[in-house]
Amino acid sequence: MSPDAPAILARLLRSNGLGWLIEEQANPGQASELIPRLLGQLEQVETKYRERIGVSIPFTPEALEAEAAQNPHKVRAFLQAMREGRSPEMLVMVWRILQGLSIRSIELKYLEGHEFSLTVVLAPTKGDQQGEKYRSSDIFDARLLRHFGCGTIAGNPLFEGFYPVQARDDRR
Amino acid sequence: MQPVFDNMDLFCRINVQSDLAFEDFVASVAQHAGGSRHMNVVQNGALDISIHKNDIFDPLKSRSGEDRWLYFRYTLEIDPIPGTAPGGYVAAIGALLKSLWSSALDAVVSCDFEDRLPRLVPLPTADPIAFLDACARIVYRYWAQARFEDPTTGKRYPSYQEIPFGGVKQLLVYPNSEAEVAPNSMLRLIRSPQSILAVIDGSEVGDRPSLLASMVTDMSRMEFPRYREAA
Repeated sequence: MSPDAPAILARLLRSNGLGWLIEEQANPGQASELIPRLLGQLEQVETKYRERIGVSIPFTPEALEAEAAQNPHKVRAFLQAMREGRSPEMLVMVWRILQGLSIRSIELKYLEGHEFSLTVVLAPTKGDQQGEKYRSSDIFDARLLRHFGCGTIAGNPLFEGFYPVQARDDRR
Repeated sequence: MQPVFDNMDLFCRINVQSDLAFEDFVASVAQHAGGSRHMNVVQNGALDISIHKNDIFDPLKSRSGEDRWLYFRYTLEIDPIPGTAPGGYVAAIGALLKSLWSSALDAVVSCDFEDRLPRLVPLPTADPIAFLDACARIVYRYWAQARFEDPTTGKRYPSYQEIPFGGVKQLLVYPNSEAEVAPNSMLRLIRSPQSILAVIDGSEVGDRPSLLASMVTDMSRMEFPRYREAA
């Protein structure tokens, strides 16, 4: 991470309607703990992405800012996911959807007080390559599901894409 | 299949909503039609267009309702230039409509051959960038080899991942790379401030019109994360 990374990340959060998180986390007279935590989370996602996909791509604030210039909605959705989802594996899943992969299947298992598991399988829309399976047993990762676009294709059910949730006062 | 135009009235009216003053609007129509103007008349190789202020223009009524187009500010009365083949005339009107829509102008056509003209389907959205993204993803469900082009810059995008959705105002979508070179069917997606406008060509090639219509229907049914209250 560059010395500018914390400031860039803070700018990204503010420009994507998440600035209130910084203020909320800051104690009077102290720096927010949020930024260092999110920077650490980004490093974990980068490592997990390399492990899972076998390719190294930067998940630095600089890289996200550059992507935001092209696809602001994707970066906004990813930043919201960082707040909502906690496991690096599931954040890699989010990024893979943003890269264009399709959501092939979702399995959700929940037993009150005992068990939670979420499995998402992604695959390219074109061709029949083997799917990528992402698992989580952290119930807070269930919050990611609300970002999926939902519809039908020729009358059949479809989850498609990962989109930002907009606050009412964010509407443009 | 050659369209039949025998005994068909070729007169066509296009109502257009625009904030431009009359003189500027006439000049803009000349530009869209690629023609020359004389007074309130614009002519190109195929179209003879008389432009008038709409007598019943109503700024309020023109904003909503199924018949809002009746109250648009300007009206274009179009006839073929003598000697123009009906097919060429209809194609020229289609091109004019697409050009008007591409500038995000509200333009509604009324004539006996509407089914042979491109159709505009507005898809309202609060987040046009994200919705354009979703539309591109739906396209792949129908055309696995789809190719995209930004008609403003001429830049082509062979895959979804390469499209900078925040930077494109329009996307031309072709079924595959062959169609990109010799288009006979395409979908045009126009990003406007509060909607995506899908332009479906009036082409009568095979089943494409119904396929495009079904693609656009699936786009219109997409649901996105609901609004949350701001913290």
